[in-house]
Amino acid sequence: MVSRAQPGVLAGWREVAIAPFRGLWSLVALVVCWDLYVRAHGFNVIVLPDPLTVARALIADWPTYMEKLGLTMTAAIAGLILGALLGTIVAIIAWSSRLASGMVAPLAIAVRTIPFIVFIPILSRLMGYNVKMEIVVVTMLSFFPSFVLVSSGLSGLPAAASDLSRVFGATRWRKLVLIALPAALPKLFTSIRLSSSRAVLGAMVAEFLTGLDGLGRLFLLARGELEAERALAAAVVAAVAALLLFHVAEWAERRVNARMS
Amino acid sequence: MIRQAPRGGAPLRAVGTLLFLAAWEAIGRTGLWGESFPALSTIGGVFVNDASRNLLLRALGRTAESASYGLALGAIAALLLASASSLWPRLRIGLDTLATGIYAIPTITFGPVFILVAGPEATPIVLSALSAYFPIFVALDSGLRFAPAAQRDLAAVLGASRARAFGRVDFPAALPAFVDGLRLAAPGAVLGAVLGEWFGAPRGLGVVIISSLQNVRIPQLWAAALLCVTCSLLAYVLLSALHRQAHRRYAW
Repeated sequence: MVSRAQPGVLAGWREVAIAPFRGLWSLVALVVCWDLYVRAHGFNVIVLPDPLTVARALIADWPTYMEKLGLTMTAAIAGLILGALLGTIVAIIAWSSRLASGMVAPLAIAVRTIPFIVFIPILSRLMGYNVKMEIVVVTMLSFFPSFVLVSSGLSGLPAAASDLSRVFGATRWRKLVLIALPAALPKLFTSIRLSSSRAVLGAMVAEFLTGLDGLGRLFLLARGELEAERALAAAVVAAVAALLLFHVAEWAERRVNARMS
Repeated sequence: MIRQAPRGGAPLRAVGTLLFLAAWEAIGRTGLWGESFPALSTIGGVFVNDASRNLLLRALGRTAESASYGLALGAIAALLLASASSLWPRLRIGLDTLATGIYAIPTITFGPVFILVAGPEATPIVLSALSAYFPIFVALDSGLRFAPAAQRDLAAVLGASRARAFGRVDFPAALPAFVDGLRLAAPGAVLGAVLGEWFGAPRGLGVVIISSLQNVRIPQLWAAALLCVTCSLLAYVLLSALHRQAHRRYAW
């Protein structure tokens, strides 16, 4: 953070009320560019609709978009939470045994190098075209970051805390519950934030590829019927929802960080 | 960034990997998870056949090409964004929002826009750039902020302009971070290329994956997916080597 002069009460209030929106000029600029681009090329609505047309399409069919959004976000959030839990459990198993930790270490490289979304068609083959598959896809996507980050949180204990627990003769279990897990909690929330956009992406791609109900399917259908404004409206809805999810995750991460440190 | 699990030596890691591969082979051979889960040897068998090997390797070349262009494009975008927010600090907060915003939005939602604007041939490149720029931007942004203060002071004393100080001091100091960002962005670039191909590009591994799925050619489906993994692993290994070089030359 750049250090700045201590603001007065009024300035402080302004900081709270305006600061979150100050960065939005760039997003507004993006929409204006889109509009200008469409106008400059004189595209008709079928090729590339302008923002207003998309907004109209969105309002005209608002309940449908919200219903599909609900389906997509349910799968995305369920998978996100399942993956984070599973990642934490495997990280604890790896932490508690040297043997297990050595054997799952290659997973840490896997998370950085494997584009997991590529496996969605294979998972759909293995599990069939159903919601269970969609949730498993998202679980897989969020499992790896959670596993890696929680692992690093568990083993990155301050040495003093480790020594203290040894002096008091804490069992490994008590050490886990009292010291290691609280230290790893902020990392868990970081991993949830990092995975949040991938979770929405995974759910939508699964729907797009298999025709499962949700925003991804809406997208697929609108594209098939050359209704560009509906496809874009679905895209805008998904984008806003993903941004909101990201911000909620960021907020939760800050809360946990503030409490734990 | 993400640290590797610190405990456990190379032998344990090798045992873990071998166990994983052996379990895969055994599950495939016994048909435990059905015929959609073939043994590794069956998947490898796809490459024995000349026709399917050529098909896969051509597709791999195509995807790798799109991903490299995408990575380059993403790097240029990240470079512009990060330099702008370093040179004009007032812009930083908006550029941050833009960069994070685009990152938080699922890449698939940009698909239809770029199919319309850039055409199906270029879409893999654009989506690849979109999913690659963010790690590069973050790495560069923090790299640019942490140039050694002594060098910055020297530049100021010698009367260097802001732009000159940027070119001579900040940027070289950020180079290792830049390469690190490239390395972390490589898998995203491959993924973006495949996503773009799913949206209707004519060739590439993504196209092979979809057509294998539709024609129930399971070993070929797996082979194509594993080639995507190989591609991003290779990029990661190559860029890691480059990263070590950059670190040795420019680290302080």
